[in-house]
Amino acid sequence: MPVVKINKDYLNSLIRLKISDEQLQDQISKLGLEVEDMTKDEIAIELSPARPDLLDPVGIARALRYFMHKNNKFHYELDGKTPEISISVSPGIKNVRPFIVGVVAKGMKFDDISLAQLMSFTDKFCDTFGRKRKKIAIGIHDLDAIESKELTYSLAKDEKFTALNSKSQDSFSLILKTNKKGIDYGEAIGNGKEGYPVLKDSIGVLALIPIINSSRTKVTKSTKNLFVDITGTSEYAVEKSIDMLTAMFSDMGAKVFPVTVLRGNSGKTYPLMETRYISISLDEILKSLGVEFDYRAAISLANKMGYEAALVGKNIRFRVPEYRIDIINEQDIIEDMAIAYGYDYIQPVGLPNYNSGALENTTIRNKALEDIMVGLSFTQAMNSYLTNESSNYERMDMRPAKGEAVTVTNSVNSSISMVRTWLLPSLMNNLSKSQHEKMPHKLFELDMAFKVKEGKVSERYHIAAVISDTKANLNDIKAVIEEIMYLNKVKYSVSKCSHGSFIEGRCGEIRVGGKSVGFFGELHPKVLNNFAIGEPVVAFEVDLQELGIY
Amino acid sequence: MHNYEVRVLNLLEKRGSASLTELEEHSKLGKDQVLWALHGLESKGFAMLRYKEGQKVVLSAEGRKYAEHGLPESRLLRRISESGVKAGSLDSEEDRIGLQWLMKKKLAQMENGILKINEAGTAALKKEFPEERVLKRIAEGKGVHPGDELDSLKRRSLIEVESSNEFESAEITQKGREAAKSSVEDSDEIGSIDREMILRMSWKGKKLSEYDVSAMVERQFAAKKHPLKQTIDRIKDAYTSMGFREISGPTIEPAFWVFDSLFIPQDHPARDKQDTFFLDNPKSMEIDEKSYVKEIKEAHEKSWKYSWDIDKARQGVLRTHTTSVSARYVHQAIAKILSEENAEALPLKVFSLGRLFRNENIDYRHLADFYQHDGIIIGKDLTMANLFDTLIKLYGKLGIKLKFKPSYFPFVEPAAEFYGFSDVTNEWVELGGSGIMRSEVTGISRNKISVLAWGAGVERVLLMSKNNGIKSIAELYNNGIGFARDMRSV
Repeated sequence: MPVVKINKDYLNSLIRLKISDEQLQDQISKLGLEVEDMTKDEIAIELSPARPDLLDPVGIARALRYFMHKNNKFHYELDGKTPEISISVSPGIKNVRPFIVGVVAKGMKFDDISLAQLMSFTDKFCDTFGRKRKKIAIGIHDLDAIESKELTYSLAKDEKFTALNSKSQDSFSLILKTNKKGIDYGEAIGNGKEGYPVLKDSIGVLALIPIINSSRTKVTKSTKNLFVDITGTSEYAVEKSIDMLTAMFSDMGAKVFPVTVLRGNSGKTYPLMETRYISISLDEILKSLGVEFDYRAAISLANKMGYEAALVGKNIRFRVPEYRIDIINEQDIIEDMAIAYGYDYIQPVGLPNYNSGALENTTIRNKALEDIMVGLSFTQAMNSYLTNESSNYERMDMRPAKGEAVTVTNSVNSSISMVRTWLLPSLMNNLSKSQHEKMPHKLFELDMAFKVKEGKVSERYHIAAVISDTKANLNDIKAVIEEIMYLNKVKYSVSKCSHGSFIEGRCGEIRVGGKSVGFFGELHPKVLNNFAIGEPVVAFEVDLQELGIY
Repeated sequence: MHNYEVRVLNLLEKRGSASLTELEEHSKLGKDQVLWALHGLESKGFAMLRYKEGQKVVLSAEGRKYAEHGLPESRLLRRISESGVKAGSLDSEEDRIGLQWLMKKKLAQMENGILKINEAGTAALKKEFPEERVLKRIAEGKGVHPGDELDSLKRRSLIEVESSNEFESAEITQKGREAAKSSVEDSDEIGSIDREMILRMSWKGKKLSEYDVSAMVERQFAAKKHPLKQTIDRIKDAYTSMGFREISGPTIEPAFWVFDSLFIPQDHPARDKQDTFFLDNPKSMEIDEKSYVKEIKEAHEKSWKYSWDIDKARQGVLRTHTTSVSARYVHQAIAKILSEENAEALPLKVFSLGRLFRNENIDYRHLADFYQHDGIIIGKDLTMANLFDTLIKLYGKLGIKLKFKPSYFPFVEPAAEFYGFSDVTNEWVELGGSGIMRSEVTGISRNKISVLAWGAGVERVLLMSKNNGIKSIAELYNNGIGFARDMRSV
């Protein structure tokens, strides 16, 4: 999650309490946020992915005040009922970016810091919870620079306007290609393929949504009144987000007023600021936490997290604050009660053991095999499952079998394109790194290999081993197979085989119950050259799933 | 004195000094025996040994490769001389080595994830790298001069310097001459005993000669299990000793079990292409549990208010956590408990341990695969207090102290992150996440059945264990023989 840097003086001015740096850090951490760093002027906080209301200093200060029992304001309400702005939504927008909501905030008092923090908050919020502005995007305008109270939200063709921080009139298509915001967020509207969502007043374009506002309505330190729009692809998300912002502006000292959104003949006024209640029995809370407290304590703990709470019958009724857009149901509130109580105060309570512990049979069998291999003086290697065609096939002088490998589409590493189909290439790579070490080199690996069979993934345990030594010969490795099979009571036979990685005539196929289960042989010098290995190598690999030992 | 020593000393007394060949010839002893005797005489102060000092420099396999193709850093530097390259694309072994040395030699720098050449780098490119010149000289069999970058090449294991302290001659000392007068070879003293002697008991009545027990011996290399495997075994043992039964599940899964079933919405950033490996083959995977799919669809649509897409749930992925195993198990176990097929008493305790994958830039410190262990307890009225107790005991067995902090994971509520402290790290290290599973995941009200769940990294446990000398996770996947040989017991 993102880390936000907050000006400490600004945060303290919002908290309005005299607290030391240590106290501040401690309280923030107890709220479930991570303080990454604290300097003289700044505090860096890693944010919770669940709490968008804690993305900005205003929200953090609000939560801290509740947490320290210094905040009794549990309701957020509008300061007027008459919509200040109306937005007509044209039907054409439906397939690109259907939803828009808004709010008006009057009497803002900005300085450099509070303005910068507000802008940084909206950017962070739209990047994370807004999924890079696709799902949610916020536009903030100087209300007094808007010409008319009637706005339109529609899908436009390629028009021109002067974008924020720009001096020239540029077309939408050019902005998507050359303006940084256009490049970063153009994808949210399919780069304008079906048209451009725009918000207009009587003079012209207020914003190319969700990319950039017009220069005309730019918000500065001296801006007093704001019009804020939120657009997006999820009606629920934009409705909840505007509630959250409304609470924030209210906490910043502004008066907040509604905005009407008109679709054809019907209109809806935002923000909704609906009151939600969730009732939970005290018993249910205590049973989840494993602690004891009474109703009075429960209500006090609820207040500590910003809930107005009351005893209704046998239940505690929690009023969900308008800005808490993350609360789904009672489980989320129980978590808040745990946070309010303090994880440090939850005393561990033991559970009974009615059942005996046990390892899986596969684990037990694999352990036994590892012990045999170490007993035969092989050291265990554990390699990455991820590889590429060149390492898995070509370096082993094998041709890729079409459709055999599990392949990935989107690796950020050029060396990863598939999941290994066998273990031997990994061990050869290990040998290649060990060339300056004293001989002999004896390594084994017991782990998974993956293949696609009839559209399904087959995950199987394999065992593979290598011996590299001046005098390594075929019988050395065959003797190892012999010992493994003998100790595991597996009957097997060997037949001649031909395998790209091995010298012709020095390779054997291992068969169990008429099925091929693996092979052994002496690696071809061509393969040794591919791995820059300077001594002969003999090796085997067996599919353990075929031995009937599990 | 040993018989051999007496024999060699007497020869030296006659000759004053002698070469190895002479001593071998006249003593009728083997080379090793003469040398052994000489060392014995030297330690008693009876003889002085002279050595011919010399060095032989040979290329290692890696050194040979670089002599032919150039050093990784010079090759990489040439590649970035025109325009920088993304750090993320530097993931071959050679690129990684090149990058490391360019940074060390300060010939390039990182700017916003792009590796760029600097002035020193441009200057360096104009001439041949000194190490390259020396490597070529050695490859061509030409002599090298002391100070020819030999130390740095040796540190990089590109060359091997074999010091050849060859024995030249031995000279008797005054003390040796005196000792020679009184020492007579005892024909009855026995060195190594053999089968014949043992069976016929011919050793009886003879002296078994004394050996030098303080002599240096050549190192033997113990074969061993991989340190990570040793740690995995320790963790599994800790679980079983607490009554947990091991379970396992697929490494490669439809996104459903990795994300959807764990209440992670389909537009969640965790499902971004950036973090997750999505499969090309197979693109889509079947989800067997039809009714469960329906429950999950409803839970998502109700809670997150969006239209849930089965095709996204079917996408094949490399699991990004082993909690997918827990998701499968919880769903099946609860069905069994409800139908009273379950033979075990509640609480049920299970764990799994396996590999997971993150589509992240790999370099010499970071990898794309990791191990995770996951625990599940299914029972009635399970509490956070029970969860903390279980984790504290589990990690206690591994020598790690725990503390808990509020956190967020979509599938548990309340959620607790836990941090570990050990004497090795001497600081609190983030270990994993835990909590009480949401009813949306378990499919049943928590008033009836509750599920505790957690997941945490395995490698961290190893890094926090005592005295193994391992500092980074990437080292664990080195697997070079040298690493294995030097790795101390966990």
